[in-house]
Amino acid sequence: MAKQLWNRILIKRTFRLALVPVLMISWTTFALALQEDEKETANSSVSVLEKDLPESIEDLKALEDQVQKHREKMLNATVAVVIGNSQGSGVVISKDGYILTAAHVIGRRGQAANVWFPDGTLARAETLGTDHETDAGVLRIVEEGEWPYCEMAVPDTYDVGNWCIATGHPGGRREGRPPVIRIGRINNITPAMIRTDATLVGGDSGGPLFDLKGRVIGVNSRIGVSTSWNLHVPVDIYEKNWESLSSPAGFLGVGGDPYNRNGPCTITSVSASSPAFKAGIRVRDVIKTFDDKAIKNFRELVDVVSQYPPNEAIKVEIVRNNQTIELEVTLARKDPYRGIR
Amino acid sequence: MTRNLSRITMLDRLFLPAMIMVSLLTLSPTVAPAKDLDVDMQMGGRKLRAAFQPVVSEARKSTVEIWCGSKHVAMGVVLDNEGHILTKASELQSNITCRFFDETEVRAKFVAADREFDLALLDVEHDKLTPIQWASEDLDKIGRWVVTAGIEESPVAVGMSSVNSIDIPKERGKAWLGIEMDVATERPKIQSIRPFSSASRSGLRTGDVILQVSDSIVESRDHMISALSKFTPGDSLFVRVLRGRDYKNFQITLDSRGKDTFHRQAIQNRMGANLSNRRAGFVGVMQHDTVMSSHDCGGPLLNLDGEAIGLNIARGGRTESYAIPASVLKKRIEELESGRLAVILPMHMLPETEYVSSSSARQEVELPEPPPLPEK
Repeated sequence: MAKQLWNRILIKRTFRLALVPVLMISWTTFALALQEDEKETANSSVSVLEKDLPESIEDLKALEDQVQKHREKMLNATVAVVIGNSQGSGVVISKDGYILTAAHVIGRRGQAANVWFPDGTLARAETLGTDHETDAGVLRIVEEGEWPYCEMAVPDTYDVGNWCIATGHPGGRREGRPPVIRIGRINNITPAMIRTDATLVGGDSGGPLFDLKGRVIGVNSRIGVSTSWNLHVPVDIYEKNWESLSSPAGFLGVGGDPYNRNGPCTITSVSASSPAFKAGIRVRDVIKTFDDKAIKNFRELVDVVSQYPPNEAIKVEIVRNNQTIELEVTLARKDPYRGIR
Repeated sequence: MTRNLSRITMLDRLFLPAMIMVSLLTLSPTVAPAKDLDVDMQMGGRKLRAAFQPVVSEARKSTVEIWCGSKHVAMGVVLDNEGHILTKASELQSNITCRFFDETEVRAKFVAADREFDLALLDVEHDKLTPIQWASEDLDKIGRWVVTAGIEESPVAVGMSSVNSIDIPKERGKAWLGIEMDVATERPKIQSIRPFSSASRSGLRTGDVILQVSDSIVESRDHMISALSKFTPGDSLFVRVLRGRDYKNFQITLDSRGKDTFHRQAIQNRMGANLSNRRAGFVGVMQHDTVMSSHDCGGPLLNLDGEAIGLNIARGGRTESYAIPASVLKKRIEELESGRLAVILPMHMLPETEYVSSSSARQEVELPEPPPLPEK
């Protein structure tokens, strides 16, 4: 009987027209009420970490105690990263020495870098993946050892208003000065960016942003004019793209003139038993395309090759004696310390 | 118009669920807007600072605002019941008054200065003084709340301590007047003045021959450069020149070279931060991340117990503010009160002397006659 009534209403045009606005209004009120509800439960909950504002000296002491609890761990995992003339910061996120940093600190895959720990320990590292769009970069310590580290936070486990700690080496690493600790709150979150009011300055790039449980939630990237405009790469980006960010550079084994901008990409040397040699590339060959990408000059070849991992077969077109020849090359794993051990 | 009920189709049955989904989709941007943390709740926000009111409730009675005429130049600390106030020296000008938490305002007399630590001792007449409570131990302070008291109920700013003790080396040779010398003559003659420099604001002109820098008679360009190198940005300098056939005296506050160069770090450091003029040449200061202005310096820095762990001495950069720790201050205060430091004052700190800041441009000051020029 009820079913019959319902079916009768369902086909009525007025019902259908009225349905849309009614649904929209009820969803809106429901969602707003839900937000209010969340706020209230947050304020009455015990932990100051959930509160919009600390309400008492006890709350402030609780925040301070959280920082004190994780302080040594956060500082010990913060490293200074030095590549050539470029200097920045990084954070070790695994015992075997994987380090999160900013893409603009390391530049390119497959380069040698030095990392300094707060206690003065120096370790050699190699740069791995970089994503210049998000500014995410990864490097890895190549020396044997167990390294102090902090874990990455699970994606999406932080929110606007959360307290956070930024560390790094503002102004560059200074002898006798530990990584500089700063406190702030998350002001805004987008998929590509966490914005906080923990102040950063040159030298902090690549350094960590922690939650008050000592987990890495972001990596320092850049700043705006205002002191409350400090931008960090969310740790989610590293976790979602870990495969490509953590893979080592591919090695081809050719030499050329990096200063010849107009090209063409003429090969002036081929390393013995290198992937290039095995593929059939010889001195005086001109590289036309690499994986179907047009190569204008040697510098471009280096940049393009650095984006490819080892052990993949890649099509290369060369020009030799006015003939275009198609070759297949399998990059080897690049070791920036080859011959320097 | 009703249809035959037996012809309820699948489409009809799906209508309601479809409508629900469509309305949800169109709604999602409105019920989940990109959230931005309320300005009041950010680190410098009104509401967040208000949470620290219990911390400063006592200490604000021992804090003063230092005004010179109509300009708020620094903060200060009440040291004792005798009327001694401690503050940052290099911001001081003439006509000093102290404003208290209870809205009283009294004139302050300058007593002594400690140029090494940039501290100054003032004297006020006030019957209801509350001396500051200094913290007794020098705890390991890294990662603790630090609260900068003002005279209001809420603190001026809050932050976290970053480094226990650090030296901020003097920017040797970087104290910069902004003049280029005429190379045609041995004597220090101004050929050109850089724009936006302390020289440009001081009243110096091209053609002026510099005779004296502070208490050194300068006879050559090299001599002048070495005399200048002893000073640090923020220092105020007496300069005497020969203009045509007249002698002219000037009081110039030295800038740092970073002010007109495009050094990236200097630019970044200035981004959004109002830095202290004298922000280098300190030994054993505490560093914290509090975002504050230069005129917020000179007052007490408190721990969560409301005790003063130090005196804010400079806003050093975008990520750093410095404070002289309480343990170090103790000795400096003794020196200042001893009367010994009153004698070694830089000329501009002499009591009863009109101190002219570089911001009041183009003013000339009559000062006591310097020693006579050597015959040339």
